[in-house]
Amino acid sequence: MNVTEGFRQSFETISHNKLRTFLTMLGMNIGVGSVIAVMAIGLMSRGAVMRGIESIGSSLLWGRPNRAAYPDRVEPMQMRPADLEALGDLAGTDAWITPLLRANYAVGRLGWQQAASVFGVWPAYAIVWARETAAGRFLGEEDVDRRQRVVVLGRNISRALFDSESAALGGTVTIGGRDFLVVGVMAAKERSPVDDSSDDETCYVPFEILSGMTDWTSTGGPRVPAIHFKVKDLSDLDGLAARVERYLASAHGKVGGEPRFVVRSAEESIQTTNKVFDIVTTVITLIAGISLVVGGIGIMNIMLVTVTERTREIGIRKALGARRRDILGQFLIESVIICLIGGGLGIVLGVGVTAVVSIVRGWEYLLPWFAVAVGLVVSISIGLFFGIYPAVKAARLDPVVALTKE
Amino acid sequence: MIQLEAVTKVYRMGRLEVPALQGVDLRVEAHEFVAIMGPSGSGKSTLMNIIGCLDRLTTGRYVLAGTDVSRMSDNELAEVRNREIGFVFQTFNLLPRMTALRNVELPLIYNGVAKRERRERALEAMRTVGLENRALHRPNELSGGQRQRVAIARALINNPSIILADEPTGNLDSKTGAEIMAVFQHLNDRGVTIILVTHEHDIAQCALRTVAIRDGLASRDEPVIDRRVLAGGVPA
Repeated sequence: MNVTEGFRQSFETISHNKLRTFLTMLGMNIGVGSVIAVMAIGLMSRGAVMRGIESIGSSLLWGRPNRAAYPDRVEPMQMRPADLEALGDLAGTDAWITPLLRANYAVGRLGWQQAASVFGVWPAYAIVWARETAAGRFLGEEDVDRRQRVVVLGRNISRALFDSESAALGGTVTIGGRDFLVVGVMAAKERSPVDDSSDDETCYVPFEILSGMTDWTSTGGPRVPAIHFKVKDLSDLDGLAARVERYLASAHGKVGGEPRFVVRSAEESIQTTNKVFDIVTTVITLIAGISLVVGGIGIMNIMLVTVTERTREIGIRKALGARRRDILGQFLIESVIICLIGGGLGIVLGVGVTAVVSIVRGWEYLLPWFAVAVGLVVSISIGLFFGIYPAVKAARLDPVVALTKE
Repeated sequence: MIQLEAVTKVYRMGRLEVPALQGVDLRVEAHEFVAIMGPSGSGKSTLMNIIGCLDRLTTGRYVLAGTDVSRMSDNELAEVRNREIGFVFQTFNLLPRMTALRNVELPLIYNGVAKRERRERALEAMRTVGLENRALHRPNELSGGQRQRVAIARALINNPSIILADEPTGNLDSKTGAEIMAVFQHLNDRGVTIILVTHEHDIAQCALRTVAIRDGLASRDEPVIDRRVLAGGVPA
C-alpha cells in the first residue's frame, strides 16, 4: 500500500472519530506547546537579563571574599580599608573604583519611616554601574573629603517621603538616627527580569560615613565587603584583574589552599548567567517534556483501543490481501498524523503563549525556530514510538481470529 | 485449480489437541461451481479457511492454481489471497466508513494498482453486479442484497482463480438470497470458479457439484441433480 493511500485512509478514520481524536491530540498539543513556550520564554528572559548586564558594560570587575574557601556557616574574612587604599593606588587612573558596603536602615522624615537598603559607596559608583540621577546630583568627591552626611535617595524612597523629587532636594532625612542632607534622587531603574528587584529602594551615602555608623566590633575593625572597578580601556580588564588578584593573594595569602579573595568580571557573570539559564531552561523543558510522554501514552492507549475496535476491519483487510506491513503502515500513519496535528496545534499554542508573555513583560519577541523544529520532530517520533506497539499488534493479528471477532 | 491431498488440521487448545480435518482430499477444476456442505462442527469452516489461505494446514498438501501454498509465510499467503481468492462472507464484511466503490477498490490497493486504473476496474466490477449507480453510497445506505453484491464485486476485482463464498445468503431473506445465487450462477456461466460453503440444501442445489464434510472428512462428493437454475440478478 502506498503512502498517499495510507494517509487517505487515516484521514477517513480520524475524521470519523473527531472528538476522540481531538481529545487524544490535546495531550500532544499541550506538551509541544509548553516545551516551545518554555524554550522561547527562556530565550527571551535571558536576552533581557543579558541586555541588563551588557548595559552596565563588560568593563566591570569586582573583588570580594571567596566564600568557597571557607567551611559552611563560617563568615568569610573581608577586605580592610588598607586594601581599598592599596587597590585604589593600583588602579590609578586606569580604572574607576568604589567600595561597596550595604546596610539596612529606616530612612525617616518628620516621624515617617521607610525601610531602605543603604549603600556606602564612592562617587565613582555612578560611573561604574552606569546610574543616573533624576534630580540633583550623585555623591561628589568633596562630600567624601569633608565627611559630609549627604544622601542620594532611591526613587521610591524619595516618593515615599517627599511630595516630589525637587522637593526632596535640600531636604533632610534621618538614617540610623542621624540627619542626612538630600543632594539627589536616582532615576528609576528597570526591574530585573530575574528576581524583580530594583535599586529604586536603595539610598546612597558616602562609604566612610556608612562605615563610621557601622558596628565593627565583631570583625575587629572596619571592613570593605566588596570593591568594584570599571576599567577605562577594555583591553586593561584582564591585566587589572590579574594585578588585583596578585595584590590580594600576596597581602592575605590563602586559606584551605584557596585564595581568600576572588576577582570576578561582568564577562564571567554573563557566562555564569548563561549557564544558570541553560540549566533552568533545560530543567523546565524536561518537566514540560514529561507532558509529552503522558500525551504519547494517551496516543498509545487510544491506538490500542482502535486496534481492538477495528479487529474485524483488520481481518477483512488481511483477507483481501493486506500484508503485515500494510496493516503496520496504516496504523503507524494514523498515530503519526494524530501526533502531527496535535504537535502542529501545540506549536501554534506555544508561539501564542510566547507572544503574550513577550508583550506582557515587554521583552523582545524571540521565537526559537529550532524549538518549532524540535516540536515537529518530537511529534513524529512520539507518533512512531507510541504507535509502533499497537500497530505491530494489529499487523500480527491472525486473519481467522480477526474475521470471527464481533 | 485446487488440489487438496490428505489435508489435516489440528487445533491446539492448551494441552488438548482437537482434530478439525482428518485427511481431506479434494480437487476442484477451473469453471466448477462446488457447494461444500456440512453441519456445524463438521470442519467445513476450517476447510474453507485453508482453501482461502487464511489458515495453514497441519499436514498434507494444498496446491492452488499450480502453486504449493502449504508452507507459505504469512506475507506470501496474503499475496495469494489478494491475487487468487475472492471472498464473499455471510456478514458481507464491507468497511463501513468507505463508499461501495472504495470497498471494491481495496484489493487493488494491496496489489499496488494505480489510482486511475483502480477506479476504472472498480466501476467495471460494480457494473458486473448491477450496482454502478450505488458506487458512492456507504454500506449502511445499501440493502443487504446490495451489500452482498458489493462484496461480490470486491471479490471479483482482481480476477481471482476462485470465488470463495461462505454462507453468502445466510443473512438475507430467501428472495434476496435467490438473487445473490443468481449472480453466482451468472458469474459461473462466464467461467468464474466458485466454491460455496453452505448448510442449506436448496442453496447447495444451485451449484453443479456438492461435497459433504462430516467429522473432518470429505464424505460424499456428487454432481447436483435437479439443479436450481435462477434467472435475473444481473443485467444482461
